[in-house]
Amino acid sequence: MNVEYSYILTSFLPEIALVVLGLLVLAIDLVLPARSTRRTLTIVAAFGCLVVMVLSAQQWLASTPIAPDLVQRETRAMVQIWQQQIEPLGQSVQADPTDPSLPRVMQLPAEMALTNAEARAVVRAYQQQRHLTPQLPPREMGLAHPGFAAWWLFANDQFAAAFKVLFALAAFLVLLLSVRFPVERYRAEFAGLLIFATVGLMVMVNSMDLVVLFLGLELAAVCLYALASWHKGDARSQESGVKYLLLGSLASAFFIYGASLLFMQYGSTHLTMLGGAAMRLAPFALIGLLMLLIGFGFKVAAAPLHLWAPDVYQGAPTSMVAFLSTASKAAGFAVLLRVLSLGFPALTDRWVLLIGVMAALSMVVGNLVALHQNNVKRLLAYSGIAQAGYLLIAVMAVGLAGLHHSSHLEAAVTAAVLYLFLYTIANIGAFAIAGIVQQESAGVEMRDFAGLRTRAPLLAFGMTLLLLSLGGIPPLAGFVGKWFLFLSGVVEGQYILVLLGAALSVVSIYYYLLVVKQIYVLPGENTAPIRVGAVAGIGLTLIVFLTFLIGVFPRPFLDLATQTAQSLLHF
Amino acid sequence: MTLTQFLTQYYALAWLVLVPFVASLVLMALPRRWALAMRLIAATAAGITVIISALLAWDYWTLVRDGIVATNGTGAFESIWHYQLQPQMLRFGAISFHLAADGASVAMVVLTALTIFAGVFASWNLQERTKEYLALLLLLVAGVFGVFVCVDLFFFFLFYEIAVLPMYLLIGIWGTGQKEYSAMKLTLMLLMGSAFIIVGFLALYAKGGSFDLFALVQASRNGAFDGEFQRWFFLAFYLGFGVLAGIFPFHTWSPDGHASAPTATSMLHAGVLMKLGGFGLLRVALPLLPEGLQYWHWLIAIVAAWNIVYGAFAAMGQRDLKYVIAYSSVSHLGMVMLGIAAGTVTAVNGAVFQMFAHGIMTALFFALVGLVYAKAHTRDIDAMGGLAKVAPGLAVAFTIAGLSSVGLPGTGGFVAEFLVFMGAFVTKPLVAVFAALGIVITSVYVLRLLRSVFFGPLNTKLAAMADARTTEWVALGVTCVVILAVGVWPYPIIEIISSAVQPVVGLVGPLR
Repeated sequence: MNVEYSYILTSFLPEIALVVLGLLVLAIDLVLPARSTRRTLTIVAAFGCLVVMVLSAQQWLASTPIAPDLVQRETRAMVQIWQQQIEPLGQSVQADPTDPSLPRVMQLPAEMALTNAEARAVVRAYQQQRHLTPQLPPREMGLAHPGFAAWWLFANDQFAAAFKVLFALAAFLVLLLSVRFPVERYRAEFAGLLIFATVGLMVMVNSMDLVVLFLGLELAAVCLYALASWHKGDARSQESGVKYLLLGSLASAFFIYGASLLFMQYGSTHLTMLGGAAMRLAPFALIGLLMLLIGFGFKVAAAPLHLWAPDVYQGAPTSMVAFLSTASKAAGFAVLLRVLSLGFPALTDRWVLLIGVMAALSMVVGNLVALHQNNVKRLLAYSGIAQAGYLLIAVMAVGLAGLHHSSHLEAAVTAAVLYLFLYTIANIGAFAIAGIVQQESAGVEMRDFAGLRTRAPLLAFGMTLLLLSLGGIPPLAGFVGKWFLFLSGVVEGQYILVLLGAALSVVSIYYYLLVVKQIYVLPGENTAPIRVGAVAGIGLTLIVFLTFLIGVFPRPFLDLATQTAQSLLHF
Repeated sequence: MTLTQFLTQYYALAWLVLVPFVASLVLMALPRRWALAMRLIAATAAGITVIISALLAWDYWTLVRDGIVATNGTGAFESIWHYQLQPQMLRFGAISFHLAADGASVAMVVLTALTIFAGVFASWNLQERTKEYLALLLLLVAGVFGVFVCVDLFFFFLFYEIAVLPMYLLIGIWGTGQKEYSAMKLTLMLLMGSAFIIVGFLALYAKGGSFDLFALVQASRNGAFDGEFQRWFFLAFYLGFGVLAGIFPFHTWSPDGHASAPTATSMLHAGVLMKLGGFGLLRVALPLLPEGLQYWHWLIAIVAAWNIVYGAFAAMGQRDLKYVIAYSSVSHLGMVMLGIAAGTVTAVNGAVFQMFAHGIMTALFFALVGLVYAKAHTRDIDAMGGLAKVAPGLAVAFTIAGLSSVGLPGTGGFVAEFLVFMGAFVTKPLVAVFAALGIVITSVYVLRLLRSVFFGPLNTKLAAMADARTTEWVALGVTCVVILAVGVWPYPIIEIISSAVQPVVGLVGPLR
């Protein structure tokens, strides 16, 4: 095979495998008899996701970004183009190779013929050149070449690989749990759409360019719009789908408008280009950034862009909500971290403020409104908003650390990555149990949890552990995660914000304990025992086990998160 | 091999935490029917911690006696720590599982072990969901042990939270009265305190560059924490730990919580858990933020004196036995804070001694109240009377506890109060005089309580009441003996405590 295509194949193996898996599931669905339940097909799809998770982990282990020969050839060609273009202008390439603001893309491994200094010089020269001729498109650099484009537009680093692992894991768990829930006749389509949404999220975290990012965002979003309105007969599900579609499209519009403003200003939507270019304050840069933040804020359901979340979570099918509230949110945070730290280091002092306000608002609104919720799914929605607030503390710390102490930068990203992992795992479990209770009782109000202790002791125990983990109680995963999140804020001097977060997480423990009280303290009217089923049981056991394991033995997970964070920051 | 080497080499401190924790897990795994086996396992686990803590106490006492740990004020902060343990495996980033014990730890560990031992026997006859009850109780104790022996702030906080949370279920499920309200109030107020503590710990790391207490003390000596930082974060720690120590006006969780809690839970909570507050101040805030105490000691002293008097008055007005004891705890814990605020070696010794003495005494009190309630089915003081005639054993034990509470010489309470006031009169005579009012009021309500519950004419409804049984006598006997023993011969325990207090007071220096 052509070296170029084999390069693309290895770079996007998880995505390609997922697409193939999704198409296979849909194809098998066609040949299966109409009356079959397709539960087995869902389980097979779930284990397909597990295989994709292994592939992503493989990519994570391969560590350094792959830069094959063809990239090297391209880069060499670029050098020559520069020299030809610059010489007549009377400018020589005088780039400082130690400049830390240079894009990571140009950092080739040492064994490459092109030295790092030369590669850096290329980018620096491009920046200077573009300064002279703003319309200069990337094509002039030879970016039309598919192999180089793949290398240029996609990060393919450990940071992306780690999140691919997370999304594949989330899809695996959600598909396993979805076997337990009625998704009417369309089980295969459900699995297919979920898998394609996962592909979208993977493209998002992998992209280095706002336009590619938008592609991934839309791929995921369109699948999720359809999934949200899955229960055709249920008005709530319809409401949920329409609400998500309308508000989601609006947020996407904001995002793409922001990206185009930035393109208008800087002639590029590539993050490293923006990172280099935004050195000068431009009139539309701030507006563009603000619009991007609106898009991301919607994605992660941070206040004041959270209003869709409770309604959507309440009406949409449980397994879809479990995915939406975790993987989709994690993707939002991953790209937020990448875009802000790579694309807008020069505007840090501006966006840090915005993120800080969003963090405080999310924590306050999420936790205080959750107090009044009787519906456990809505409660989890507001708790998710609050969790987004805690996570934004780390994002803010990334900005502040970038301004002053670069040594703290890594710790802040590590904290965010670790928290996203454990939050995803715990929240999927919590939603799954809420869904099971909803199915076995009349609804998913608080009182439907009463007597769960006798109806399903293991579910009761699992729900308690997961909620306490979300509340940050040791020795569970959430405690370790929150500790590092808050730490990242405190080392940047954000005492008040962190105190607010810590105090409000006590409030969160109040409403989590209200559920625990129903489970353990109060007797229930409904005493019919709940059968969980083997498949969902495996998923839940795995979730609870991981939550406990990360809590009591956080070191390996912390090391993995640290390495992931380093790969984001080595540019 | 000396005993010290033996205890260090075989991880005595880690076992203190692990034994209750593992026992708790084992209990969870047992089938529901084996109630007796569960009680025996819990009692064995508690017994093992008693043995380990006794060994630690004996060994630390020999260290003090032989002058290896200095008690004459010359010992540096680092020299008083023994039995250190810091496994590489549990080290990540700036955090490591670092265990070590000084005199104060040893005293508190002994207190905890005795209380849980007595507590298991006091709840021997509990029938409802025995498994979960004992498991949660042991989990809580594992957390408490962890706090007392941990010198890494991450694990300190982790254990601190583990010690608080099981309380919610213990009170919520097995409690009496308005248990759900009390459980939630207690949990939320304590966790709100810990929100201040976690910010404080993280800030200490941000400025001092470590979570390890020893490294932080070194950083503090080198001036890593400036004056303003010390003042603000000392206040944060005072509020955070103070909630647990029941300082006015954050004490309101305590009476409700104690009144609703089942017997062994009250014993542990008032006996041990409330001590975590004073202990935290002594362990973290005083050595690291000495400037903070210099700045706030008047506030602390005045609040403490008010605690003493207010708690005593409030206790006087109660009709429910448990509320009386709960408010008396608020009053007595004011004594701990007064001792710390006085800032002299004698007074702080007294404060730590008060933690110990009050812990044992109040455990005995709550055990007794639990027994009386179980047998008389009421806690209303007015509905009782003359119980000494039908339950002389309970009456004797209650009198011992009461007299210790009043501070009669020959009981642990006397030693503690005497030391605290001796120290406090030197630096804050007016506050001390005001606080001393509390002692008078205490004697009023304790003696009235004794009279109306145990003496006087026998309430005929209670004529059939039984005295304490064998297993219950274990709980009462252990605590009574310890109260009298430390009252009669307090010297070793004062020396042990003093070895830990002197370096800390030395770091703070004389109060301005």
